[in-house]
Amino acid sequence: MADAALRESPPWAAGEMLLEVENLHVRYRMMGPIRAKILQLPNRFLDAVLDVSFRLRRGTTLALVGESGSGKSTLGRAITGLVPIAAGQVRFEGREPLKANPRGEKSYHRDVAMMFQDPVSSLSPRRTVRSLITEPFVVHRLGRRDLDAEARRLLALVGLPRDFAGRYPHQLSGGQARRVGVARAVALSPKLIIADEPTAGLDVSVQGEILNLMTRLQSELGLTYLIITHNLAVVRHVSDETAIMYMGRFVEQGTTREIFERAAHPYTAGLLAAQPHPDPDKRREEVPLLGEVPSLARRPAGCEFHTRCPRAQALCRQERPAVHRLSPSHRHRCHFPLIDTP
Amino acid sequence: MALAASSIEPAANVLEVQGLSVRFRTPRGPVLALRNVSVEVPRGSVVGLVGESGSGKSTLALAVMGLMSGNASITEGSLRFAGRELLGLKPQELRALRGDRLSMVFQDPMTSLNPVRAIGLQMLDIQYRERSLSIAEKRRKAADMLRRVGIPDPERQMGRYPHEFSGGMRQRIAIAMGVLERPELLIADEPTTALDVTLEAQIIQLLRDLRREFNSSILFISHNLGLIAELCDIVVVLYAGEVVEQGTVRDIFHRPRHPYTQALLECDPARIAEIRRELPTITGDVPNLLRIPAGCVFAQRCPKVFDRCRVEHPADYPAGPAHLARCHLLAERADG
Repeated sequence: MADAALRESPPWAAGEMLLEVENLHVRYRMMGPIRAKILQLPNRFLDAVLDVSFRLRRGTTLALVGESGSGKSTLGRAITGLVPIAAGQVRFEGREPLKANPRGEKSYHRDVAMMFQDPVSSLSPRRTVRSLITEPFVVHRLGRRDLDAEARRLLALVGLPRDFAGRYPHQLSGGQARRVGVARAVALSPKLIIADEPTAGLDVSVQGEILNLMTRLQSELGLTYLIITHNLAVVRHVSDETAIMYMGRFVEQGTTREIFERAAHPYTAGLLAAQPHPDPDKRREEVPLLGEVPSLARRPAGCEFHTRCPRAQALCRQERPAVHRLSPSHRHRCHFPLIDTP
Repeated sequence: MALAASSIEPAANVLEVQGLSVRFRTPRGPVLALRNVSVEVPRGSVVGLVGESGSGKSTLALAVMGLMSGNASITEGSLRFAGRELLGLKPQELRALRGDRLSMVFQDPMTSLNPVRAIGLQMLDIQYRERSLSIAEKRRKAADMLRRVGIPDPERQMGRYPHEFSGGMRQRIAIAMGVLERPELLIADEPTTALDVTLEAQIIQLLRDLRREFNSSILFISHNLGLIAELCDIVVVLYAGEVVEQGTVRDIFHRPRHPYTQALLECDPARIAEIRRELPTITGDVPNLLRIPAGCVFAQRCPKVFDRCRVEHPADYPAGPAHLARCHLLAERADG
């Protein structure tokens, strides 16, 4: 990896804080107390997100990375209010929108937009592109605006020809469908976009187009992104900061440069090593991370990663690691990190 | 006749696809999804078929398996498996090969596993040809293969149903079933696309080990260049239904000659060492296969296009001992 090329301390470092998440906790109820007693299960709840804290500055991008079941999508949904929060705080522009009265929440829903993985296949195939991209106005009762003009504006913004307004989802290519998804997300001029796997399933040539579009809109509209993905190759290029999630926790977080150059947590190192090299002379000789994420219903004691960790010791099986700071931005939860000193 | 000959002297190529063209009937007219495609899989090797969506990779796999949909037909060419022509075989003859000497692993294991039958029973079912083995021996064989692909405690797991396993475990089971009868050729169509990178690395390692142990040949289909580089010996690049380039894995990754292959490699963010916000792309769209362009299929999007490309379909030009590229630029070089 070309070390000098990794991004320098970013110019936005002193920028204004948009989103602050503190000790966020999301818990799902699996069963009632009686059933749990009969089944003799110690825990009738699933902790999908545990003790997550981070801050996101305006105009920057944070990537949430982890395997399926790590809680990254749940965290995204909890921030938008789609999933109830069990404990902790979500502060947006200094306010706590999820605790405010319903009207306050409505303006928050305009400020925060969700971009789903496959925006078109999850929407009605019988509706035109115009109807799909102007739906947010209808939902938020902003229908008195000139929707045709809005549709034209949005299509131009995402680089689709004007006549696409009359098309149906099945008439779109994969890349065009994603552009429609981007148009929907930016329709109400949000401040924060939470993008869940924005390029999963796309060919590499189209993936670049969508990421470039998101980057352009970020600078044109001053957007802030929370990108949920498992594609580390993409993360390296598009995000300022990266958080690695495992079983609901942030096991490591830092600037993208810190994560890629000075990974402290063995899980981060394993994820990085698991990426295939597009060079036949750099084949992996061994599998970097064995096994799978354990069930959330049977959360391992101590450090949750100890069941798969190549460095695990007795301490890891007994005691949950605390958060250790390596720099103002770089934090990890590991008893035996790969790097120790800042 | 051909079968008798091949059983004495095994063909050097497990699979030989020659000049294959596949046409789909659609309401808007015929779509030529594959045109004059030739691919060889030498015995014991892993051949990667790489291409973007719509390039025809899966159509080729399904044509080899004889599993094409009703509106598809092979208009030209031949498909030889272990020296024997597959085209024109009766359905029962083809069925005798499938699952035994020729098998396939799909992208989503739920499509190939029976959801209402325990996996142990499914693994007994596929051994129906083995008349000499007892049920207990078949069970042991199935359990051994499950253990081999990394399913812990297989005897107990065999009573469970597909939905009781995680996605990664299901794909391991599908692979165990695919290789249970030691096929001569395993076709793996995007077997890791639905999995996390950590599991993907485990599955790639598993395919490597299985190939080493059983000397099986694999046709590996993927749009992921990283996986192709990790696993394959030979790479075939498909674009809009045509093979535009093929060669050894080093030819393709270190000395790509077709502008499409070059552009595809340049787009892969994992190959871009320098951090950049603006990622390279291939501008334009894949041509509409209802109206195939007269010249080169890549001409509309090619950064190196010149007049000849728009009018004349390029031939396959040699670029090395086992390296072919379908591009006029190589002819220019040879002429000049």
